Amino acid sequence: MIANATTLVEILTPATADELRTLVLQANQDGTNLVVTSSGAPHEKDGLACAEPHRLVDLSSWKRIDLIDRRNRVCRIEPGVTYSEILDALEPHGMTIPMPLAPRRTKSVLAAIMDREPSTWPNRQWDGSDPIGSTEFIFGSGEHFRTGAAGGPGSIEEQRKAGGAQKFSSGPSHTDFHRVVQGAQGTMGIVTWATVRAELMPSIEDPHLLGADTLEALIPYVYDVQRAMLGEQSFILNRLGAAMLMPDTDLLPPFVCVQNIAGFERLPEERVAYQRDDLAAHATRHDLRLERSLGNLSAKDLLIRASRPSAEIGWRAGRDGACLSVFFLTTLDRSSELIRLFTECARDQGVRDADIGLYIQPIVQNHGCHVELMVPYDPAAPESVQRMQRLEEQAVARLLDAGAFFSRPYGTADRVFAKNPANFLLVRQVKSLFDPNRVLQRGKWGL
Amino acid sequence: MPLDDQAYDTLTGIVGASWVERAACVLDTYAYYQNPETMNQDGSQWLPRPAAVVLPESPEEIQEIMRFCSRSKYMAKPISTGFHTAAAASNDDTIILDLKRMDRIIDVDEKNQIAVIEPYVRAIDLQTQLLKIGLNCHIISAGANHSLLASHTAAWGYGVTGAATSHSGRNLLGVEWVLPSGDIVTLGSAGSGSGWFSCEGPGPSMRGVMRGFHGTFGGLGVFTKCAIKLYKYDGPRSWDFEGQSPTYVLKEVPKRSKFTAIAFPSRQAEKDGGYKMGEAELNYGEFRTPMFFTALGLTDNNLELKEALDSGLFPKFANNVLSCVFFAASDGEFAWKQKALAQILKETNAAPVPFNLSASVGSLKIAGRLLAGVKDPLAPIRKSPMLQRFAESSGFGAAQRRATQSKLFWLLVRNAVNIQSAFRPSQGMATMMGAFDTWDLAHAQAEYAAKAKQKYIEQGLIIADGGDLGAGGTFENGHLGYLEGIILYDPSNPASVEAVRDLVEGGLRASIDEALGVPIAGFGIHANKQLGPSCSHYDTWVSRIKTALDPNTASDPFFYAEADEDE
Repeated sequence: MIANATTLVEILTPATADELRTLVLQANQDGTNLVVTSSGAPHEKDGLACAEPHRLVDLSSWKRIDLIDRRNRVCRIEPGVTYSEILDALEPHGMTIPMPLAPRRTKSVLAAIMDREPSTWPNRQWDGSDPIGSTEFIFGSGEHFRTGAAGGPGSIEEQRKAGGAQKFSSGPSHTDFHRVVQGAQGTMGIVTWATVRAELMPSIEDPHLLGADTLEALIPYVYDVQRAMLGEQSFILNRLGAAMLMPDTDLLPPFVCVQNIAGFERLPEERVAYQRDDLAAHATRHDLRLERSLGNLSAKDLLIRASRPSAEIGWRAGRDGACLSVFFLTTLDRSSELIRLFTECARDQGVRDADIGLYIQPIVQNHGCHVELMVPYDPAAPESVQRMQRLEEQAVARLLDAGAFFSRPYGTADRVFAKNPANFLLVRQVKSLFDPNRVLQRGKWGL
Repeated sequence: MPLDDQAYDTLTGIVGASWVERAACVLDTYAYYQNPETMNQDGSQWLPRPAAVVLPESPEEIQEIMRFCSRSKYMAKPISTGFHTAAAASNDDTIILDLKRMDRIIDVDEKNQIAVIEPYVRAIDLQTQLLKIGLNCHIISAGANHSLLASHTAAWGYGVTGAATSHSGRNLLGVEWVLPSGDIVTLGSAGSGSGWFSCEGPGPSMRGVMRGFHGTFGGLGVFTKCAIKLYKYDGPRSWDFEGQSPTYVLKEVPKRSKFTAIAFPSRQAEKDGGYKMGEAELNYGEFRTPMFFTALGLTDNNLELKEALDSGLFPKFANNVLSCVFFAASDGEFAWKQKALAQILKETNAAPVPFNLSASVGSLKIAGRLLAGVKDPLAPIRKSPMLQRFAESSGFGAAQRRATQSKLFWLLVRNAVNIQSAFRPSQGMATMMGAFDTWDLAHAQAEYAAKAKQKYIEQGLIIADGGDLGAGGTFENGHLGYLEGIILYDPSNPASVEAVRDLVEGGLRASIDEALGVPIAGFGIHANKQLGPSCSHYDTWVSRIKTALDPNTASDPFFYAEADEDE
């Protein structure tokens, strides 16, 4: 969504967790307002937006990856590690990680995960907080905490010696605080490292596309194959969405489902073969076909594009310089109705249907889905910007009323929180415990 | 003390006179749970008699009760099915909220694989509906008669289908929660009127304070509704069986299913096998079946069990056994899984236990004598895939094989872990260790427990089970592992009870000293004090949460956390 103005006073670059903690403790003394970033610019959403004067804590230079454990399929990363860096580090170990759709090159892995950004590999996400394993963070109070298996007992080294790998996310004991820090956009604590669940790197891949004239034609197929946990990366784009991701392509059908099939270390060819047969059977049952290309769009090229970081300016903004992106969670069976509603709002603002990009990402093994509606626009044209602001305002209000769940509230967060006032009161109570002096993102969300 | 008259009037005004009870003979039925003597500091088999038992039927009634508790000396403690001692009142000012009137399966959303349930929906009730439509839920090994809401929102537990259905605490998609203040909050998408599909947000997830790994055990309000994740089930949607209790045999082994018990030649091989099977995404259910449990599962009474163990066979082949089931949705998938398993068996030098051989006590005695000088009775099978195939598919011993496969069906699919099984040898069962993380760490805990038990076995204070009763399995296709160390003891013998307390306490200390993770016993105000200082001082954080959300101690804090005295 469109960012608000910010009032940045200073950029701070602590070198270690101890220095960071000192900063936070100092902020508790002198009332400094701290905003944290670990990604490099440009910052596309308004996670850094802060209406009050603040100091920006920049952790983008924290690049250590000090654990890569093939046996337990896990790695430990610091906040500044980008997707390119983690992929390069994991590759020699035959591993990879689920990742967002072509994240921009400077995007921090940890920031994306802590923001619950969806990955393109839905059947590897068992829980809404995955792929987080354990975390270490500093609360707004300046106190230090480790979550999950890392929470103790023992030091990280002692735990590893005993056979642990900080893989479990819950705990210690009655706590599950990584969930409170996750999605909090820097209002609860500052993460200094996290262990991240890795997956085996496919040894062979056979990606396909399924084209359809309507979104509704694809959805039953997605339900079937996700339930069966068949295939690997999978998501839906409309024609404009595909063109935004893959400029110069001419996708023939209006909607496409990307369906990767892979073999890993064990019997890879045979695995791909049976999965392809089973997926094809599901496709046939729904009058669809697995195709290796549609028009001049190749499934292989699209998968490569989706699975590697994109340019410094993300793919959404690449076409016209900026992009209004309205995203929410729902279930697949309700997605069409909500998309239709957004389209109506867009028409009211003079936006053509063909100028609305769509990205649907099943999440948590398709127990829900991320729906993202994208309208590219020229940020240098004031009337375009105003039009997008009006569209966002109107669409979010109507989508909220219709049941869209804005799990990651940006921009119009007040309205989102107002939908569940009891939860918001609880969030405020917890904020008072974790950040009693409001030194983290003061003023954000009215916390 | 029994509930005073004024409080009684208030509560009957909320729920009606029929649903409030303060007669001692009824209250005492809420003062006895699974082997309390090991958790009671005085070793008593009785837990505190509650002040009253109230049976509300709605969140609104619970809301009123919590408000009453907030302004009185009484505390509320909810239970659903109630089994473990942690379900008990901690003192006689506690009012038990028995939630058995709230037993509705509110919704099964087949398409999105979500069930919305009330507290007294037992796992068996929901699962019976789900299997018919090719879905399943995660069921902890307390048994299929446990409350799904309790295991998903408020307590821990390990389930045998964790490889394919994750862990209860990670399967929560939404919860309706009556806070100690009486306010009702619904977390996640349902709280925003968007449906029960996500428990996170908007923004920070309050799921992070509502349960953790262990859960709050009723110490922080009452959970009145929850949404849980459902998973695919490619096993049979119906089945015919024959026989009578306790032995029911499937008339047919389900199509495209594999029920097997894999005997690994060493612990290292077993660990490796667990990782390999996880990566191959083979298993739907699995249960590490220690030697003693293998013998227990193959016999129907304690005399048979003793004779089976006396045959001397079990320690020779069953020290490192994983009982497994997998299913497939297509012939292609089934063939691939069979081939992958065969590869793994070869790589780990493991063998499937030959189910086609008779496991009767008579046969075991004879086999024991014949194989007295043989170190590894399964050695020929380990080396020969042909023999493995013969044992698994020939006509020889087919009826015997089907009977054993049926046992695994009830165990690994229907979670038919009845009280008789684990409690049969001595009527007393306790557990130690049980921290979640990797499969390797799980084994480290099991090894610790096995070693620690030896002293007490030698003294005759606990059952001579060989020491290693490390029970559990892998989760989420091998991403996680879990083993707890079971102890079987004599609850009528104070020395035996004391030995268990020593073991559990020693396990807790070892968890700290040897960095073995927060054990299953690591909850509640006493354990928090012990563990907290070496675990990020989580004890102070849960106390702060308790203080903030329950300033008047409306919820019984004992098995969760006390309010922060400094606040």
